[in-house]
Amino acid sequence: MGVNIGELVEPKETSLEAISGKIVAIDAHNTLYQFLSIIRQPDGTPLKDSSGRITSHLSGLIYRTTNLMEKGIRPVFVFDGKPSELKGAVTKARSERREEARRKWEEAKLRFPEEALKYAKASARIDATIIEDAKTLLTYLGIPSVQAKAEGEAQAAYMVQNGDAELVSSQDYDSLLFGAPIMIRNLSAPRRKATPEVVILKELEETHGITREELVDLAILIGTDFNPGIKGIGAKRALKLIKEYHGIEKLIEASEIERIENYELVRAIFLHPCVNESYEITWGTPNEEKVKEFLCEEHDFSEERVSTALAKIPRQKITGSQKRIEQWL
Amino acid sequence: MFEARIDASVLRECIESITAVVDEGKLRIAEDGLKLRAVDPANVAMVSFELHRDAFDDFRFKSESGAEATAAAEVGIDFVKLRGILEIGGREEVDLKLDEQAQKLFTRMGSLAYTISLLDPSSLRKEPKVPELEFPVQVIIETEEFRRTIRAAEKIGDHIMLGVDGEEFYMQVEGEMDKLRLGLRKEQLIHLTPGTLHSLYSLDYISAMSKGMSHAANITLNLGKDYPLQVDFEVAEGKGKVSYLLAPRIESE
Repeated sequence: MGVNIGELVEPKETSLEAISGKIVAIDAHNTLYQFLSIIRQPDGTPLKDSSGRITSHLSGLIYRTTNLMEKGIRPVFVFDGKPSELKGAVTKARSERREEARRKWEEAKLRFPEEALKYAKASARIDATIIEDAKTLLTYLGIPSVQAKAEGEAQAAYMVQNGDAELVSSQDYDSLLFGAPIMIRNLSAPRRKATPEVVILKELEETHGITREELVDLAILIGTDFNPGIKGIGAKRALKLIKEYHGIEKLIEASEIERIENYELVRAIFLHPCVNESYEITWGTPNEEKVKEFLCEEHDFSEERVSTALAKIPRQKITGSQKRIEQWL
Repeated sequence: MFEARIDASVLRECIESITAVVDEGKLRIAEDGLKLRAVDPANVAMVSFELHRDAFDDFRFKSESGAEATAAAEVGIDFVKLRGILEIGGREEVDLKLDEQAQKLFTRMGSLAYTISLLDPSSLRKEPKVPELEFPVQVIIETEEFRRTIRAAEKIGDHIMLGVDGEEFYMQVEGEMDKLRLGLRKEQLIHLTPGTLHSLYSLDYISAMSKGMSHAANITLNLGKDYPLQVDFEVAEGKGKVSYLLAPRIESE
């Protein structure tokens, strides 16, 4: 998932404490996927309630998100809108891979239990119910959700550019291509497993002496969620080519590469994404009763653990919103 | 033509009551004295100021646009600058002289002469409308009691609740860790309209305002529910009147 430019990125380790007080625009799809693939039983079975419904994502949302909030971080979840048509092919390949993984998991569960988890993780999928559940729980928790028009990451990047959030949280470096000035990875990962790290777009550009436009072209060469890329070109080779030729057109002209299908469209997706400009971010007070009804009664969560999690949410200060005097003049 | 003489500390008290809300504004000079109404740049607070000619030892004004008694000169003044000059001058008399043509205000304190360039009135914000407000509750309190509570509140939080509960007036701040509450019964106040309501206000604004009212013995607080706060008090020993209006913060659900 996402563009594979890891080799070019030098993330800096950070901590939850260091970003206390900041508003973080979280790529919801990406985060829910993380929860679904990581939060599992040792044999790879996702968490389920007594009716057999998957609850790994809800577990992640209630326990991990309240951990962030305990540190004073203010999360905003950004949900994907309509995916680009170009994503179709990539999505299809992904769902085939997932089916394959599911088959292997079922097989491995019987024969090699220790292998099972690997395949189980790869079989995680997000459906409409999971998204709905997540939105419901967030509403009860008083955590704002923003609906993107297309890509959630594009929306999150836009919100940071706009000054309404300070960081984009995602595992994918696509956020950088969408122009997120600063992104954080491993934010929702279990503490002992991965340290949060930040990547600053400007630093990435300066380190390699390329512009964001060139970075996007570089990504297109390697392959993105919207195009397969050119076989045999990895991050390092792509960087070399882009530094020498500065753009896909020049590369084609110089016959370094053959045509890349739809590269102009893909470029536009990253550089001029379709975003929702009329979003609103408001934090509410958690509705403990509703949270418990939803998690404990409907989905069999432990009431004690949910209570502990809820207690971590800082008591909403009644700051309220400052009114303007004109209203009374 | 405007020429006047006034006690420097009286003028300073007046200017400080204005700079508690705005740095600059259009001062209206007329036959009967000075007037100003201005909103702060963030559109959160307004100050209305009036100083009667009796506050001056000498006050001469003649409109250059006509001899009508209602005519007035409107001059753009940097009040922060004027306050700075008055701080240097000490407790003497100040002579003021306006040159509308040259757009200068001449000030003289003893042997110190200071010429202030006026601000272009067109560069200043339009004078706000006169608010039409009805306040269900009025509280008159000793200024020092109010100011002391504000000073303590600043250490705790960034907003303060002002309210009335029956025959008690209260000021309450809740910070992350600490909480402060001042409760005064009707008999501890100069006046109180009983009721049950409260509003929340930014402490930054109230604390700036509390500095502007330091010379008044009492202040009148006009309150409503999720409604602006209007603070009225006198300056220049009753020859001037100041009102602050502050928009509330509305609590989120």
